[in-house]
Amino acid sequence: MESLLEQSERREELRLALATLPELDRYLIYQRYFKFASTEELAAKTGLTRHAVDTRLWRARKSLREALKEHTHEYERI
Amino acid sequence: MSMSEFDEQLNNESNDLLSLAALEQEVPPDFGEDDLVFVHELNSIFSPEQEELPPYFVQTLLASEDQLFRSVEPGFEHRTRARVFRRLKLRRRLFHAPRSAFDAFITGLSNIYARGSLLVSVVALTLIMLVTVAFTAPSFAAGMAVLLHGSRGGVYQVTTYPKGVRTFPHQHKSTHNNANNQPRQITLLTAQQQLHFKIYWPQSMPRNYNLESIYLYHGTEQSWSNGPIIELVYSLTGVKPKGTGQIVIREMLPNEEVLPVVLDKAVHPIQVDRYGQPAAIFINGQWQWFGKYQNRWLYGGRSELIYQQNGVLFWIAGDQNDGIGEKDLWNLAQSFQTIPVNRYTLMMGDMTYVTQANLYDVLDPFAHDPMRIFTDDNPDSAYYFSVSSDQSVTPQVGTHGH
Repeated sequence: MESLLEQSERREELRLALATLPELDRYLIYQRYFKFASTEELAAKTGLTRHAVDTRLWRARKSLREALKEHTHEYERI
Repeated sequence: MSMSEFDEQLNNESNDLLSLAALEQEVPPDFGEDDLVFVHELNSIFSPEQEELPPYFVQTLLASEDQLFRSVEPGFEHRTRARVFRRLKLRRRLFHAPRSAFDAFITGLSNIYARGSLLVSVVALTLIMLVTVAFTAPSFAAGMAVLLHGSRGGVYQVTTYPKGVRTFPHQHKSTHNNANNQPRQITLLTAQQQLHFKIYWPQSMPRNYNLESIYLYHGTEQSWSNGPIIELVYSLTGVKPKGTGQIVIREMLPNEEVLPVVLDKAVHPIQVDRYGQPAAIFINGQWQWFGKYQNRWLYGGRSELIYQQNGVLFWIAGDQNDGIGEKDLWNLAQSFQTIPVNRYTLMMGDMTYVTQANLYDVLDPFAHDPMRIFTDDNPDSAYYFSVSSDQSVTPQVGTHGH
């Protein structure tokens, strides 16, 4: 069970990871996973193809997960 | 793990499952398993509502959807301005229609007068400009210097006779008017020894002109001249002159820029180089006094050439009534040579005596000419100067007197 401090740290880590993403990727992440937009809607809003939206989302997820994983490893080392 | 802790964990897991199930009902049909897990991960650690610290990336993302940050609709500015003007009861045209230049000028003026602070600023600026012009105008309006190539000589062109011409004070005449300062005869050798340069002699002279006299001028206050000034006077012989019948050559080594002040239209530069500097300057006419305070430029009559050679400055004056013009003076100037004194004495015999005099006693053709002198110490302190203290007398060429 994570303490509040750990959660806050993870949140900050995610925030920093989000900051490293390109603006378009941040937009896609937010629309997709906070506003639950469909790939089709995102393609229409951004002018990308659905495949391009999927690819960008996949890369963004990977990048964010790696950032969080690094944080977890550091936490475990401590 | 205690029971209570186990229950709590179980409840949490069941809550997570419930929330995931609720989430699945909201998510679009193209959400895959990976998407759902990622949403779950994000929600567990991050939610926009819980964002506390800057830089507020989620708010940045939300900004595009926030009405506050949306771009305004077309015409919004005009409508807002109209509303504000109406509320404040301002009488102004809301929209600029095409107007004439005159209308724009009048409107601009009225706006300026309406704005007191702007008017004060404009008045202050105008005053500053006027003061600047008042202080700097004399230097611009006074005239323009034309310098000879490689020399400190030249002319100073003006449109009217200058004001504030300095002269030697009158007391100098009385002070120096004693036996020691009376004109006296010296040998040419003595004169040459006093000069700081070798005397130049013209080898080509207009027909019937012969050397009549030589003068050596001293002036204790003539800082603009390095040492005394020598003057050669040639006169027409055997022919009745229609003018003054003389050609006067003044030679000096200037310490500073000594420029005769002449009417701008009366100047003709000769052989101007690529830098705009002439080899010589011809001057047609001279200042003519009418009464004690009025003067104007008189064309014809006197002809003068300003010339230099090896740093020595020559002022050569003739009379156009005797047929001496630019070409004659230019030919004369180009023939200048230095000759050893003993050789010249042998050639000229008795004519080798020189009259030594004070510069401020001179009544030669140049005596009343105003000069513009630029001092080396301070170029801004240029001043007008005339050798003669009596400005109202305009001597003719050849009226030497002491």
